[in-house]
Amino acid sequence: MSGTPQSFMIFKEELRKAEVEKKRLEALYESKLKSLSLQVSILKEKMGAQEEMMKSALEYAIKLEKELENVKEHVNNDLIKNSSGYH
Amino acid sequence: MELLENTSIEDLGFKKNFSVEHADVFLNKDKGIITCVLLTDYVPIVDFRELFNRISVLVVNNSIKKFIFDKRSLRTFHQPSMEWYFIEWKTEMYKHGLKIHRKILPDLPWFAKAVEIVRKPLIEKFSPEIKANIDIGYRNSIEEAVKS
Repeated sequence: MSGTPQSFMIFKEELRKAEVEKKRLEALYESKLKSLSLQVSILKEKMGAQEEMMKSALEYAIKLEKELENVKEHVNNDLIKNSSGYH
Repeated sequence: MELLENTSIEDLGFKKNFSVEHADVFLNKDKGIITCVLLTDYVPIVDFRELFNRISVLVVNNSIKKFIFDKRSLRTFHQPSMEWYFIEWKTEMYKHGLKIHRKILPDLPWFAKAVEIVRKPLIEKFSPEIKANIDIGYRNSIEEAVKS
């Protein structure tokens, strides 16, 4: 009969240790999750910034392409005008 | 300009004032210059603004005339951060006497072009007074930026 309370005490102590460990793991998990979420949000921001840089570069290239087309058209028109003007 | 490759920032009269995850900030009190050297390829906006808010305190407390921004480690810039820094921060610092800005870009033509595309419309947002008096230039090294 005297063994039962002792094993109960051991069990209770083990239970307490398990609870402490559970809380420690929970805190660790929360902190890792928080750090991971932060990393994900930074990565998202970085990817958005890269997308914006690409967009700006492509818009600039499109603008240059249009300007080049205009210059070509202008030169062609001048050539046509000049070729009919002197003959 | 001839550059001495082995010249360290300390040789140029700077002392490290503070360090954060993304940057080292150096101060040359005698010449009234702050140099901010970025260390990472990207700086999130929250960290960027925090960094520049700390630099603001240094500018105000030390009558800084020139700011050197070494962005050679950058590979991606965040447009809203750049706009905030370019318009709001520079305008605020101008009021405290900081009128000379020197920047060092990564040796990547595509990066320089990307910066130029975004920069052009931003300059137009400055007031006429700031536009006429602020001196923004690009240099190849900290040494060159200190000298001119």
